[in-house]
Amino acid sequence: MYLAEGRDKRVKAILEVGEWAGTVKLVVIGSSGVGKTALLRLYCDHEWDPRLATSTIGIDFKTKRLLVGDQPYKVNIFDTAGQERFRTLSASYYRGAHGVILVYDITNRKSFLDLEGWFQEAKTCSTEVVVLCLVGAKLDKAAQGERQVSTEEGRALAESHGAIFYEVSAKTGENFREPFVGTVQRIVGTPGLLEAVRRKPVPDALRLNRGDYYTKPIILVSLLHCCLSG
Amino acid sequence: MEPSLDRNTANHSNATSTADKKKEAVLEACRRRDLSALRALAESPGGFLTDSIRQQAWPILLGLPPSDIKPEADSLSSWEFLPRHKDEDQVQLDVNRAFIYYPDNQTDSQLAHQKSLLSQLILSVLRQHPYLCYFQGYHDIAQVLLLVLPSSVQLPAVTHLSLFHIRDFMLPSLSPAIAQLRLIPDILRLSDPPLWRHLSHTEPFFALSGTLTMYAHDITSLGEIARLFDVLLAREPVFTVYLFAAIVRSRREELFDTPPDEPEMLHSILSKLPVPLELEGLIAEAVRLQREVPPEKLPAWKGISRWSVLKTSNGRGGEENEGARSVEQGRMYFERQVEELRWEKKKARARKWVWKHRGPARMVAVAVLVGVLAVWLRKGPLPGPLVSGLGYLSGLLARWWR
Repeated sequence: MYLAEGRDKRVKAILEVGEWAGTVKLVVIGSSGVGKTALLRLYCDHEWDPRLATSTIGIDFKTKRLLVGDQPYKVNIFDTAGQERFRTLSASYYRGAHGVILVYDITNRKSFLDLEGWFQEAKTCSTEVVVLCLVGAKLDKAAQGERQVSTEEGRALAESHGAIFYEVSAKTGENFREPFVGTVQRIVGTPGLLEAVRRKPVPDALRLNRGDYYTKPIILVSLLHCCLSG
Repeated sequence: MEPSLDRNTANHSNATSTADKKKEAVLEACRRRDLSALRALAESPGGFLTDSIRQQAWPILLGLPPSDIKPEADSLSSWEFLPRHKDEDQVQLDVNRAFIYYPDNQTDSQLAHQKSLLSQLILSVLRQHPYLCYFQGYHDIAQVLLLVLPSSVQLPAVTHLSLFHIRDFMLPSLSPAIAQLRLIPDILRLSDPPLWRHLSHTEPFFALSGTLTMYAHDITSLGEIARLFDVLLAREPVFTVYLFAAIVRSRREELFDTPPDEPEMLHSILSKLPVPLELEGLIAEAVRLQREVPPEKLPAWKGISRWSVLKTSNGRGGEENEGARSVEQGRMYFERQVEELRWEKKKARARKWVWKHRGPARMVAVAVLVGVLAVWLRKGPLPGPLVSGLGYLSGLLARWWR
């Protein structure tokens, strides 16, 4: 299986027609400030500018075209806020996700320790077959001796959860494509995954409460109706 | 050549005199603490025009008691000695990413200074009101007040804003914020049914950063966000929601070009503000929308807590208080809503439990019903229609239960 990103003209033509072999949905999660948005912005928009780094509020969405073999896929990527209070919201975006990319900052031990909770969330909120990818970000800072999480630790954690593992840097661009490409490749290579997710109903716990004001009157009216007509 | 030059000068001086007149009108309204006059001026093009006028008007709109507006108020004192707030780490992470778009041309040391001021401002509000929960985006709002207002009123201003405009977003749960977003589809349904249908598969979460941060996260020019704050502070908090509905409507064509079964794309379009942002037109449209479909007409309005900022914003102190609002009042509303949320959570848990055990629960319910009926029947014969009616009702209940 080879991979290219719209470099030759034929590939570009296929991608521009807008006919997809499939749509892949990824969700990016991880603690606040680890660099989720920076990674995504570099991958999707080819931009990296630390001066433009703002917090993500709620949920953001980006899209990217990607060839796997000679098949064009549309990759929809959801970027989520790191703050705990927004988690209820991002949970609803796991619906139909094929892959989850978990990001931590290799210079921030706490963001690595938080991963237990993030793995937990990824597993409870999505299908069992979902592809997981663990990403240690800010690899460029390792050279300055700021590393707080070793590569081996990261890899071991990833293996224990059956996840793919990369260390990346949005600043130098090192490995920045691999997490996305690797995840999509594995999703496409897993028979039935793309179809299976589509049919899975939303778990009840994830439905956001729309309030009871629609159902209550309906029940009352139908009861009344039945009583009167009965 | 000369006549046109003359006309230009005349136009120019006309414009200046209109602006001067408006400035005078705003200042006069401030002196009288006339909220309705300020509101009308805030809605008219340009709002309060300059930051020096805003420094007079915003504290009044925020309901600061006159004693808090004194220039010598030593507002930031002693916060450092108060216990840490649980969200301080998050505040630090966000403050580090503040001042992205404005002010311009700052040196690194100036930027660092601004960030430390912002951090102090947020932490002093949070430490003095430890019950408030910080949310990402709060720092964007505080940043605007920091840059526009003089340091002496910043703390009371941010405190009042927190308690009377964005209180719902500072509760322990996000659900009151989501309940506000649910008003947007309702506004569209009543004012633009085809557009509402087109967006019916898209959750209104695209409006989250706009409404949560009073657009401070998304508007990248200080002049524009300050002008927008004029009207957002002058009107009821629900206006942010109407403004978003106006923004959605202004992008009809773009939205109709995207198929309705691509909610991700629609979300993506709507989660960024249009460029350029026609603020004046949007404000006027939002005012019109709110008049056309007032909040009480929206079904989702019933989903808003009675303690929400949306439903308690009319309770201004009145004439004798000169429009001042007390911090205690805001705290009381906050605590009532926390109580309500706790209750909601319990109810949801109970509902979940019943649903999980619905088999046995159904049996118990039917058994109890039969028992009650039996006891009732033993007391003496009941009229026939009542018995059959009850039977029908219990059958119906059982069917619904399933």
